[in-house]
Amino acid sequence: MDQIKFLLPEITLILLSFALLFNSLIDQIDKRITNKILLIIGSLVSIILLLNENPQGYFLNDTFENNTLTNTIKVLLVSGTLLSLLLISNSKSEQFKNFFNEYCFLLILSLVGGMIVVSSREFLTMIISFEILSIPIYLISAMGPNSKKSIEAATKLFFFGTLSTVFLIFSAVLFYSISGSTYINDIAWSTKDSVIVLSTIFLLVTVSFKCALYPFHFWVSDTYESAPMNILPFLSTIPKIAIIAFVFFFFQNLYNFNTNNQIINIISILIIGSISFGSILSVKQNNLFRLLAYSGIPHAGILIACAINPLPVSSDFLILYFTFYIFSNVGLFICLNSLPKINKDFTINDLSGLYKDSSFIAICLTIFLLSLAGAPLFAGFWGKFNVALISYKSFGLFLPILIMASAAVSFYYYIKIIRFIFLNKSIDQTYKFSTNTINIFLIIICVIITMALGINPNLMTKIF
Amino acid sequence: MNKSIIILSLLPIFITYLISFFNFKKLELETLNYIVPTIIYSSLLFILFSIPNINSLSIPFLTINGNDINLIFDYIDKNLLMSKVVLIISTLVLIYSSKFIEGEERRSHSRYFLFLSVFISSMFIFTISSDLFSSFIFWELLGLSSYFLIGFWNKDSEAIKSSTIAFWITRFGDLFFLAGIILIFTTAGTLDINNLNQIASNSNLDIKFPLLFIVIGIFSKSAQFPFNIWLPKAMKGPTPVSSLIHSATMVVAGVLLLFKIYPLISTSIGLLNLLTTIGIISSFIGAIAAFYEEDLKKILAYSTISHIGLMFLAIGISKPDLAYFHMFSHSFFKSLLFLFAGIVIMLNGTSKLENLDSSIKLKSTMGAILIIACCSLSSIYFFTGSFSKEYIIFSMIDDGLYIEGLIILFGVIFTSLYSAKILFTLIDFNPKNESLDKIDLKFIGPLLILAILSLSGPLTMSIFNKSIEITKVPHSILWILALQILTFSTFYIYLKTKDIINEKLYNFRSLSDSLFVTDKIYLEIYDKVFKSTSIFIAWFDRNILDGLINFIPFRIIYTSKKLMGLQNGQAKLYAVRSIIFFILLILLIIVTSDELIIGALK
Repeated sequence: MDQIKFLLPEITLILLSFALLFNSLIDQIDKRITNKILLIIGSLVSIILLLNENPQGYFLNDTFENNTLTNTIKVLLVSGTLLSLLLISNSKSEQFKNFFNEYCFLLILSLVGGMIVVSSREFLTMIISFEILSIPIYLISAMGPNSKKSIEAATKLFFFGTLSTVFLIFSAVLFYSISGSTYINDIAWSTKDSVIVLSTIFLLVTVSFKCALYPFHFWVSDTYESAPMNILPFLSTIPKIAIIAFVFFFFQNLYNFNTNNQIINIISILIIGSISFGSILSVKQNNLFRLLAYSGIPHAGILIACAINPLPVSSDFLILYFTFYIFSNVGLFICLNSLPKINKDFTINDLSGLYKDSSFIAICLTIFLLSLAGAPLFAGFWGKFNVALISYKSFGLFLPILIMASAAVSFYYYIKIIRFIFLNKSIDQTYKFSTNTINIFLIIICVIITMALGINPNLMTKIF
Repeated sequence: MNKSIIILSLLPIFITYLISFFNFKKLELETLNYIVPTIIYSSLLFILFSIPNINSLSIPFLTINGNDINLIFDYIDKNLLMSKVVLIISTLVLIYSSKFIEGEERRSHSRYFLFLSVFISSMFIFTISSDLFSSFIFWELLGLSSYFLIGFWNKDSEAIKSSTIAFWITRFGDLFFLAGIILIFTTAGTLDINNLNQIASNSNLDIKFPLLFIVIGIFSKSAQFPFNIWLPKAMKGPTPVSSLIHSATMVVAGVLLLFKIYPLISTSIGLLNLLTTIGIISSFIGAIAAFYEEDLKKILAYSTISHIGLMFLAIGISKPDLAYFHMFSHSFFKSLLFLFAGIVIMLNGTSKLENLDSSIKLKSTMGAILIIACCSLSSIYFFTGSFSKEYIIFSMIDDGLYIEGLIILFGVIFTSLYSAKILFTLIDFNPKNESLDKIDLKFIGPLLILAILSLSGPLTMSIFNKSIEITKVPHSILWILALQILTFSTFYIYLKTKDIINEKLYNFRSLSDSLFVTDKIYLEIYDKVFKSTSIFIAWFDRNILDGLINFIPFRIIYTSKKLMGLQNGQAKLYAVRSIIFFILLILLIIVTSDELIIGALK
């Protein structure tokens, strides 16, 4: 019982999810407002606990670890989730009208899973937390507007998710067979046994499935296309960030032992494939959501490249990239959700003339897109630049060149969207639309964080 | 004070640049275009006259291998004298230009005055700059702005060609100049002219070749033989610009620089001989070409080459102060002649001398100005042009350079001949109608001021003598008389036997043409080498480089299309592919050894 204090933020969030579930049962009061109040209070309490009270160190038989870095990542996860959940509870669309409490309940459980992933240092807890992270997402992606398509997408997601879990379990089994231990900081990593390498391959394939690294990215575009639009801010960021944070801790652990170079080889193939093919895949996409799904692949590749870097400064740069990626992506999807006629068959052409309809949304979209593309003065530039810099120090010239080339290609498809927003005339008759106040508030928060990071990239390291 | 003078002199550039923005709106700011620079330059002139002692200014610019490169601006008398001349003539030319440019398209006004301001400001700063690096910067700016000014009428293909030729020839020289500066810096470790002069006199530093490079740069900028092609071609530009380029600025900048670095130059006898030789050749062929030329402006251009040749000669025979003196006096009457030519050409619409026959009445202001200008040009005694030129010739005789002196005397005869040609062709001795042409005050005012300055030889000499001591040249009144008689008799003979001289001497035209064989070489180079190279480069750029650059995006889009086909929505295919990739990864581990794929971990 003594060690429960290590898990206080997570427990707060679980209590919050239960409170939301109860809220859905009570009929007398306005559910929307209580939902928002509960969300904000619960998340803030959790964030405050993370920032101030959370004790650091190993706990529960050394299966978990809390330190400043995990706390920072958890704060980012909670705040990203808070923004996306506020969007959901604010949603006016049919299928969200009655079930937003349930959605929030499920997603917060998923978030807790993600937080435990960040802390876990042992295979069994890792497998369980991966499952906690994934299962709510399978459920929710089946609740899309076009139920037939959603169920198809959810089935695919479930299928590949299960496959990856199988891989993960197999990885644990292989590792246990050699070392007799399930801790990832076990001395067995220093042996040059090929079974250990095989175990790592299994683990990395799991990670590739979860983060949609090339060549295990197939599910991502179909899921993005048919999952409900409101969960995309969550879906595109939180699981990815949690798992990449795990990869970071895993590899920092490996570097304490003499790493087998073949492990680096495997992950480098995944990185190179993701950065190059991910960029190329996005070029000809016309469907907006498929494009955004594919454009996440090179970002994941670059994040992994940062996470496996042995330099101590890589944690700072990882935090910077996480922050920018969460807030740019969440902001981008909130903007898209605010468009009145948005649906999942939305092509880039349908954004034509957006600037005339709503200049606010258009400008914010442009900021997020430029940031994701890595334009200088935006946060994305520093993210990509820093990763290229430390990759050069550790891995030589090839990776930085690849990152820069992918940034150049990514400019092509992100700016293609911006061109449609500003230059082309509206296809329909122009209509002004008003955006929800809360959505505007959420967007402004994201814009401020993106811009502030672009102007002062050291902001995050100063805060934590 | 020393800093604010530099800032003040750069101000017209920014103001005219701003005005050029406003001019696109329908604000009537065209008049400001010339008023503002005129006021600023004249106030600058006033400051220079009223404040006697200004400290020199040194701005740190670069440090290379522990040696500093500073931008140094010295407000000493020998610099300021030329600055004042530049400012006087520039102000007058600005006033003149305001009228001259009136007929042009309105939008081009601001362009004209912008580049004129750049030109004047850079020349002004060049005169006071006292280190080779800042000299080079403003030297370059002079070349650039003159390129735009010569090509001001950019619808005329001839003007464009002329400006291009002027630009590349001067650029060619600038390259040598830069090489010289770099070599000097690497050997001497400083670019400060005062330091360099001290070093040159104290130690035996071998900077012969760098100096040769700088001298070649100066030759190209001053249009000396064999770089003399660009100056007559530059006559395609507007006349006020020609007046500025030829009198006090661009072409004499080289002479000024040589004057500043004379102690350095004088360490090498070979260089002095080179200067003397080139000076004599240029002076001689300039005078001959001027006589055979039929175009009024081109006559003046060749006459400039001839006069600048004299200045180089003076430096070559170790009389730099005489060169400076000649440059000083030459500025006034040459700008006067050009501005005068501008009015004549404007009134008659042509610059061919035969069409301008008897276009100026004897008894008019213009007639008087023409007589003063031509007398000054042929250095008739008491006029501004006379003293300096005579001193140069006398000092040659004094040094025992008789053969060279003889060539120069031939040059003097031809100078008198072309002066007489201009004078007696343009002037109408028996005007039929007595009515006088009304000429605008903006035209005639600057002319009158310059005419007064050209008229009063002793006055300009006394001004000059106050600043710099002229070396005493021993001469007797007899020599002066002999020269005057030579000049006057040439004038008289020309007047009496105009037609015969023209007929007889024109038979030797092929001779003068053969002197200008270098021109043909330059034009050949321009047409053959430059044009064909640029056509090839353009082809290479369009097809090979752009082709390569375009190839990659097309490949990417093509690959993207191909990859899209893989995403067909069938889960079992995805699963199969994932498994295949997984097996491939394992195979790869078996195949590859411990070597890293993305490079070494440090």
